[in-house]
Amino acid sequence: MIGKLAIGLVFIAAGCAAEIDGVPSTTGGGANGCGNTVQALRRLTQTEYDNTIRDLLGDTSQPATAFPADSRNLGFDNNLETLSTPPALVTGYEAAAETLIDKGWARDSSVSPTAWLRVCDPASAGRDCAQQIVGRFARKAWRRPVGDDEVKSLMTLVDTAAGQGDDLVTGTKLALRGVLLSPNFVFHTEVNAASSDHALASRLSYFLWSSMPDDDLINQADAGTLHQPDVLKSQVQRMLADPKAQALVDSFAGQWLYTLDMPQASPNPTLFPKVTPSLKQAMHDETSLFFKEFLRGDTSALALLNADFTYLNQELADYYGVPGVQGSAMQRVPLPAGSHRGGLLTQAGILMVTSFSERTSAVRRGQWVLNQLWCQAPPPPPPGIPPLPATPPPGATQRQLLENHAQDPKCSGCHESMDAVGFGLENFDAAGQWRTVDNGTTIDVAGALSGKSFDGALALEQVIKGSPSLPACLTSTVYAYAVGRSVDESDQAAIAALTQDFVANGATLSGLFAQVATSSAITQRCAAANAQ
Amino acid sequence: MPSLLLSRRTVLRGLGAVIALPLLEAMIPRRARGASATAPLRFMGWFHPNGFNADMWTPTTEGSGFALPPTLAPLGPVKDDILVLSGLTLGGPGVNLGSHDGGMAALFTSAKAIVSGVTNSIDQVIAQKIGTGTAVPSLQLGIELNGYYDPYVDDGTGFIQSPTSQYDDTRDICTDDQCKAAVVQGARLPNRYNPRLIFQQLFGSLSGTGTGDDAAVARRNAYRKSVLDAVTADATRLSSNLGKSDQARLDQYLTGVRQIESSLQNAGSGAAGCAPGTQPKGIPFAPTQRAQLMCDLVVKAFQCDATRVATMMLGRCVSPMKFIVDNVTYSHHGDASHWGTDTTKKHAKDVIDNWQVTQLAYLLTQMKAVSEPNGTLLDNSIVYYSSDIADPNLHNQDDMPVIVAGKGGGAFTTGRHIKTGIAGRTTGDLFLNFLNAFGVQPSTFGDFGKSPLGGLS
Repeated sequence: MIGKLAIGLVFIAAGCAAEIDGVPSTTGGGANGCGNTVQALRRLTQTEYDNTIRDLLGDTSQPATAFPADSRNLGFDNNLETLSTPPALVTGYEAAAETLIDKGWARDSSVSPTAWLRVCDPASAGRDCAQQIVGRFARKAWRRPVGDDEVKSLMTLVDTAAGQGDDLVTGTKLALRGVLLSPNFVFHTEVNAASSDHALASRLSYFLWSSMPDDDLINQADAGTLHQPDVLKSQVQRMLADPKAQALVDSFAGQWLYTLDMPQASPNPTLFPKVTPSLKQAMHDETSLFFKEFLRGDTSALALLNADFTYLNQELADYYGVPGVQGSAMQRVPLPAGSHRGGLLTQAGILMVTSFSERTSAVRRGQWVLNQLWCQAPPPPPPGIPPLPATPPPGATQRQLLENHAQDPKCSGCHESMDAVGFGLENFDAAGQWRTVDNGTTIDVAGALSGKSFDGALALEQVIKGSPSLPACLTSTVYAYAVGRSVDESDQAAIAALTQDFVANGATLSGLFAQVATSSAITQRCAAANAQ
Repeated sequence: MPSLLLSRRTVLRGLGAVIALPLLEAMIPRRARGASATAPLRFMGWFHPNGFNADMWTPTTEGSGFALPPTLAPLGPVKDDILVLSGLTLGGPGVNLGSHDGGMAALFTSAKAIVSGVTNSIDQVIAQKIGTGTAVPSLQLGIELNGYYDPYVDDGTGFIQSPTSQYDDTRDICTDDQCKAAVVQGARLPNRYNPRLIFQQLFGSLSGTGTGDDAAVARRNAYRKSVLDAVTADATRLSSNLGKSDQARLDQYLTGVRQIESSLQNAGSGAAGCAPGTQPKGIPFAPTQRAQLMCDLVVKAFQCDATRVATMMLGRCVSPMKFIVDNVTYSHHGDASHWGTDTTKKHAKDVIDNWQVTQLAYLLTQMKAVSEPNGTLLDNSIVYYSSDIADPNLHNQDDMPVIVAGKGGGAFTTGRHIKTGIAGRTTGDLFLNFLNAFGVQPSTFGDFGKSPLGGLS
């Protein structure tokens, strides 16, 4: 699971080092509004590849699951610094292209102007038809107009097949494979974009949909009007209302809030027998639906902390001790007065994936809060730290063990900030279940964040909710996802301005995504600066 | 398209006509090249889920006269071909890399964390050295997907009382990290599960195997080559406009393209009389049949030189695969491996460990039965067998279960039990021995491989 945990939560060596991660950052000095990693080529993430294939060919088989897995070492899988293209990935592209085109061709049961591929019949209409199919598909797949020379190059594959005595359908399918294996498909390429509006269309659609632009976007780009502020604004509103914006729940929140990790979390079944696959799924769905309500509605996103409702089904409601929820379907549930739950930091899935399989980790939970909600990652741990005892002495709580450990001067620096936050969540065990006793001793949930002391999870949420750090961190996180790289000094001014707008406009998530989508994070082209 | 010409002749004239053409280097079958006096060295990494009960595993005496303890008893027929290494650690003495997940990440990488762009597993380092010319540079196999196959109990996936005649041909890839062992440049490679599709991947591009239409195979390879030529031309057009960092990204892509071309060049020239046998029907429901089918595929792939590198996961990390022991059904992880002080459950874990070693013994026996110019296939292989954790209750990574099978082309003197634990040596140290056998001499491997172990040769 290591590679799928975002910044910080990878295991290394021992002790405090075993709790958190020291993955080196590769960021350097910044330059202009495009950050320090100005680029024109960016390969599709696995999610983007699958979604693009879905929208391009009507194929929902998720072929990218066979590819080498994307990394989340630096937060989001679309971070350019981690998007390498190993040979095994190209092998995957090649195999997928052949399969996808064969299946796609078969999916079109007849010739039709709205077919996925077969808009005419090469067998009867000849080479011109083949060229029509290939050119149309390349334009859609490459998300931009294609040049005559490019179509001509693809058509050599049609002629190759003809030279072997094969028919035009065989040759057309070869050329279509070439479209999917081409760097023009597997990379976002700004260099060949005929107009900046096509690049803009792609940036918008991969940000909000994790997929290719649709016809509306491409039509606006073809007309050269997409960049106009009123057009851009209405397109972004349309995109956020589109079902494909579910990608922000699945991919953005999936990585930000770790919902992607929840179904495969593995609490020790002997210690946590109630954690069934269906319960883990319900935990995933709770956090996803909770986030989605903020994305779709106009409630202030600051209420992600300390909300008075959540989403439960009967199994999860029983687990939480919330009465009156029936059935396996997830439903919106107002939380009763006095509930221990309410807000992200009380949701079992998040508490579970920031624990070890046998015990909680105040370090990992504290680091999760600091990274994901506070945007202040603690420094990596020093080497050579002794581990915590695998079997705690009788009566010792995890808090006591960790406090003892953190007295080591080598550790105290990194632990002070993280542990003091994580201790506040100790009322939830490693599977997110409420508890008041750890190893026979009553749990102390006093903690502190940034100099503010608090008592327990709900009070910690109030501290975070009341701080200007939260809107700034939410903005920075969405911005990083939009630009697809680590943010650096050169981005701070843009983030500060966006944060101001975000707060001034009711702090809604939909507003934040719309602001970022219409800001320089998305609209500014950086390709020119790459000519070095 | 000059690059198509070789294959076009193959296509147009059929295989027999190839002989009449000038014998270009590229057209000579792999085996025929370089005097064919020696078979190549192969590598296989094998993952055994959920650790092991050391009392039933670790031999009591060192050296060559050791007796096989109960769990290792199935290895009797190949006892002289294995090294049992006890006392190795994953990350150094007393270091816990983070239970199952951290151990899984370190299993083949010897790394404290998988770092994007940096971390490679031992199989991938070897594949970069020896795998690039084969049809499949490296193979990743597993037998337990997400949505567990369960031979006895309906777990919601509909597999009840699975008889050996039933197959599932609808699935192939497992999507989560607990199904992934191999790592290249920090990216985990997913396992494949469907023997039918793996068979096609391995042998589909080989001619001369007696299993398909050689002319059709040659034609398909030629077309693949043409598509690769076309996308290379696309890349060339792109590259004229790129800055340095983008050029590097495009070069990565082109390296992958060239690797496929290299595979095709060799694959299209035939498998030199090897016979991969019948294409499997899909994923068998019965776990033993599943494991043995995978072993058969590996043996044939090595024999046909369709690949030289493989990894195998005999279950997911934290495997919940169900086993019936004394009429009681146990989940491997949940019921058996966490046996605590329950000796009945401990016995179940012993039985499961024994089943796993039995599958290894099956593989090694098949490999030993294959004669090669210089010994057996097993002699010319290194099979590395280990787990993500050691003690299934403690989840520690001291005294890992490690078996090295095969003589590594003469690098190892097998038939011995060696205790290596005194200096807290790591599996990463052992990987340096492996790399030396493959002619690579790095000074370190991952985070924990510092120097090769002595006394193995």
